[in-house]
Amino acid sequence: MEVNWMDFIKLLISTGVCWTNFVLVDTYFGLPRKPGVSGAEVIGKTLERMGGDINGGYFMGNIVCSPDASAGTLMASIFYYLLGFKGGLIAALLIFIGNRLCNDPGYAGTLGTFSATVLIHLLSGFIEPKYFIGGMVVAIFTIQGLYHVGASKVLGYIGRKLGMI
Amino acid sequence: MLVGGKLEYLYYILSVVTSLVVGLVIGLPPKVDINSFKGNLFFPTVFIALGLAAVTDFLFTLNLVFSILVGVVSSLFSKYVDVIFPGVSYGG
Repeated sequence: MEVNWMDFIKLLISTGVCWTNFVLVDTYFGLPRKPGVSGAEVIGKTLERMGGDINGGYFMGNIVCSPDASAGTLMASIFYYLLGFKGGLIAALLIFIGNRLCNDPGYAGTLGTFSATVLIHLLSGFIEPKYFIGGMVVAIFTIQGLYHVGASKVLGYIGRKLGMI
Repeated sequence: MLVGGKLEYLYYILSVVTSLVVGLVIGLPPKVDINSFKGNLFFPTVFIALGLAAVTDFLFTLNLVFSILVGVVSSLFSKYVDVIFPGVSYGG
């Protein structure tokens, strides 16, 4: 079987771009600082009991309980793939409404979707939007699927390094 | 132009400018507070204007009247966004 290495490299780069985008935007808008709803608090406290970081746990709980920049980046990728740059703008509007329904002021999700749309547009000459869909799935898997305790420690470390906790 | 180089993108800019002007007229506060559920001059006004303009562009067509209308609607939406989507006091 022939492996197309160019596809693999594009997927890796888009994973890095998506990961950086949603982690930085979410950290800047205070996801690790406090839980937005009680579900996020339960996840944070459980991760702390398992030996993880409570602020990283709040971050992960907030991701689960509200469409923040992580869901925003995925929505932006899908909408850009389907409808182009205008699709990314529609995704930002929908993410804002989703944020408000989940007791979240909506800054992280809306601005994360917008920044992801701009990034995908700027890189679209080299990496097609379909790679960003796959890249975002891999990026969110590293946070919410692979190893929760380790992921919460990494997110807490980034939050403290950026001075947002 | 930023995207594609077509004239229709001027209508998006017109929507945003209209929403900002109407927002100033109806007294939206220019200060951004990221912990507040109240709208301000820039958030969510600009993103609602861009999103609604894109929806209008896909569903109907974007012309002078529609883009100005989108700007007015989005600034009014931003003015009453804490009434339409109120937050509950928890965890803060």
